[in-house]
Amino acid sequence: MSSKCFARGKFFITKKRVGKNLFAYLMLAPDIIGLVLIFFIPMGIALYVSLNEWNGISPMNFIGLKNYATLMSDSLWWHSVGITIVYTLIFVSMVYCLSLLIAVFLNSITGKIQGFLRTVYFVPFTISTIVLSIIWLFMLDPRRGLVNKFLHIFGIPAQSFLGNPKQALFCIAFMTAWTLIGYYSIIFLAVLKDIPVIYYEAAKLDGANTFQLFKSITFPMLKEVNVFVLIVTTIASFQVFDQVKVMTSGGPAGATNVAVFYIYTNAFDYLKLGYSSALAFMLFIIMFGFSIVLLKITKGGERE
Amino acid sequence: MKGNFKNKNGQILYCVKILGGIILGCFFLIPIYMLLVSSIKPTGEVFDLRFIPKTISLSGYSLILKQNFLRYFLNSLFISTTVTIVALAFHSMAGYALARLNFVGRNVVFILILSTLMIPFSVILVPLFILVKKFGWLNTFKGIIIPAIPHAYGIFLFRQFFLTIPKELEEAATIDGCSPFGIFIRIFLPLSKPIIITLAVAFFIANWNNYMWPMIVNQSQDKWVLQVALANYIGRTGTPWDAIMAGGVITIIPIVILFFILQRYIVEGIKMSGIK
Repeated sequence: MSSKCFARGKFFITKKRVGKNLFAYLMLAPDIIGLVLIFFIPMGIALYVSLNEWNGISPMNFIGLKNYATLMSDSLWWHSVGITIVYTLIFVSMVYCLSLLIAVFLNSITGKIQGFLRTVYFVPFTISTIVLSIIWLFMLDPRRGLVNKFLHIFGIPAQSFLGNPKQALFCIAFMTAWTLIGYYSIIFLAVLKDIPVIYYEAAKLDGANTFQLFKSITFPMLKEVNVFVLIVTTIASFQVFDQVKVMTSGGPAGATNVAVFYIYTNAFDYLKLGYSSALAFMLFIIMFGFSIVLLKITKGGERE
Repeated sequence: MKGNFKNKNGQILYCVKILGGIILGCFFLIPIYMLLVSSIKPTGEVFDLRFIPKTISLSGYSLILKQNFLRYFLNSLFISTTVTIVALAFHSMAGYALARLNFVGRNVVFILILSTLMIPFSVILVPLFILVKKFGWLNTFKGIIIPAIPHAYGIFLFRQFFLTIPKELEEAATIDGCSPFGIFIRIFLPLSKPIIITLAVAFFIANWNNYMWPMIVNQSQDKWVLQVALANYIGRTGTPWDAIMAGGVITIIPIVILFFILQRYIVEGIKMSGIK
């Protein structure tokens, strides 16, 4: 459509045509200026700063690709990338499986109760990460928290959770998943509701059991939404920061020092602005790679 | 006889299912209930973990209000409201241009807008800080508000919505001598109430809950937002838990109210983000 108009415009540049273009640009101007200022220019600056040694105060010192060479052999950085990947695997699988299970469960009940339970599961999503961190710091308190009281009923000894390097990352992933399960089950439920009932009835006549129904009808119908949920949760978990800052500050013993937290400390605590920009670009590349691999594995959600 | 038995079994199964659903619901609600109930316990009794407090005390609230929390509340309210209103105005204009106007370079502009969704915030964190510092916006509300406004997601959803409005309306208005801007204001905006409410709720909640950027931009205490103040409050040693909990309750009140009034729109918004 627009190319056709363009061709016509080339030959008959009328006053009206110019006016129409101008009006469109005026309507777009505030947002375009904003996006350029907030995204495109900073992207350019980030690239330039990453080629410099700079503490934000003294003049920049151009060092070419040296920051990138440094990060390649920065074991702390790769440690934090590793932690981020472990976090992503725990978090994404937890959110994906549980929200799909809950959506299937919600889809099997009807009427007002479905809507009510959906709302209940969704409540944690609306609460800010900071308040959620408070709630779970309280719940997971090693000596007096409710979770340890609960475990005690089953004879499980008190755990130190966020104070234990082996448990802290899992606790943060669990808490974050807890807040998002309701959100993603709404997305899954919306798609499940669109699957025609006839499919299930036909398969039941052929003697299919519940598992077979899920495997051969439900799951294939979810392909697009699967890709959406996996990609969005993966990208989000690569950027986890708020809850780490509030709950553990990267500790204990660096066990939750995720990539964005490492970038943040380099930029705002050590004032290595050039280096942290290089790290951020590296994270971007890793994230991008992960998304591409995910798209390849899931074949972009196309149905065969 | 056999059919009746099966039916009864099915009913029992259904009840068990709903019971399971409610127990699962407790798993989501108990932690939040603990926040509410702990905020009205006296400092010494917070960790008795009773579901019904033995004694009710508002000392947490009075302590937190003495820490200037009302000020932070108003700061958060001002910032979130401003961002929401300005963003809705800008995004609806841009969405209208992309959906309904033919202009040179429309597809290129649209793709460039969408491409910003790919950029992670951590990459632009440092340069954005440098820019904001250059403009002299550190420790100002401007420094939080302006970077929060441009967002491809809002533009995209407005565009998708405007695409569904029938062309005949536009044509009729043009014949009646309505200008393109008049069509936008008098025809498109009134028709887009559902999307406006949905996005308004989404923007408000996102900005109210935002922590990282306000923390980095506003170091001076009187410009803090609630999330930053609360996070700072946790970090200090010796802070009584009932006061922290009271701060948490104050922080979530506006969102909980919004949630219960506009729940339908929130759910619609989520479905839109997932499917379209």
